[in-house]
Amino acid sequence: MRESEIERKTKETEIKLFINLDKRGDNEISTGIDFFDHLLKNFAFHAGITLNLSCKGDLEVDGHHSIEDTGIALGQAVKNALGERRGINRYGNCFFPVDESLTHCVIDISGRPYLRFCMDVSDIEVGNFDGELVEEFFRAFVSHSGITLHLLLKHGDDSRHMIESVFNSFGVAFRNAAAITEGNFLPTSKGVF
Amino acid sequence: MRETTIERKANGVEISLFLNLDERGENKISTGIGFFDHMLTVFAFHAGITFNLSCKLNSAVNGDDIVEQIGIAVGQAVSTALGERRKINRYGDCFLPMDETLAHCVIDISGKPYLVFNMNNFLNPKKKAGEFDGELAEKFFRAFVLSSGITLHLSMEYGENTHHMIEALFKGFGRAFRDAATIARRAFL
Repeated sequence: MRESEIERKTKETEIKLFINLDKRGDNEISTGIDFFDHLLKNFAFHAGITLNLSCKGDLEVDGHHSIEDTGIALGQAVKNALGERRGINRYGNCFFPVDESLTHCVIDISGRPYLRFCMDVSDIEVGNFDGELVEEFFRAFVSHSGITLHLLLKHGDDSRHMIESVFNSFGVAFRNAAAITEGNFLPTSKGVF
Repeated sequence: MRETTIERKANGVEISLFLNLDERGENKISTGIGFFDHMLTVFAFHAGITFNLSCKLNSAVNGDDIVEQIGIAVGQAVSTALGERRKINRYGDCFLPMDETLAHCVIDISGKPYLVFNMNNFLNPKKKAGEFDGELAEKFFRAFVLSSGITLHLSMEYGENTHHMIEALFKGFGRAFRDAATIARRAFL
């Protein structure tokens, strides 16, 4: 089983995170930002993984530290859980619609952090969730997981739909990329990630 | 096992080629152009095949001829190895990211040679990566489709670095080819 547990404590946030890439679970997620919890549950659901997360952050400042540090912890956990990356499909690709919205997500579990983030959702607010932090989350995630991630919102109108389609497409593409498809084989022509 | 050996001698290029579509193996590739060796190696690696190729070149031969003759030989080998094409998936599709670059490759093992090579002005055909460039990449793919009877669409969605863009094309080609040449039904990923 590819799993990992992270405890990360700073003066801004205290995070406990458990991830299992090979088993679907209940996904108990609590960050103090309801819409962000919902997005992470959707991600975990579509990725077919177990993600348990608690984040106690300085929400009296704003959501920035909580969301960015969750991205860091998730990136670290994914990197640990993937381990040597033997047998993984490596690449993942998904067009995910939510009603009128469509996001295209492409992943390469490459060992090289890269984010291409093509959308403008920075003005969106859902409850205490600030759309500006979507990019912060994904940038923190790629930096700490060593994953190449392209996210392109192709079209959309409704704020919630657009952001949900981003996280859902990320879940499906991640599932495909992390899936074991070729036994013990290391899928890089370099010989090491 | 779908495998074949090709010997081809034309235009000052003498090629020996072995291809096995059903077994991953060591890919020993030597074309006389280092970057092209790297491209054919990543193609074979991501296609999950065994591909050995060696070339003897006469002194007057240029890069254009080498790439074109190898494209023809690879296409012939693929077509022969595919044989009657029974039960193959036939279609293949891959979006292949490489850092800042995204290439899209779509294949139909149709019996109809066709190449769409749409680089959308991202890949400068004359800009070199080693002794290779976008123009030679197009030359290879065009020779390949003509001799294999494959419909191949290659698009550059976006990209900046020449090495990344050309490599993303060959990797995406490998992944899409693997899907298209696969026997029997499979779950799509």
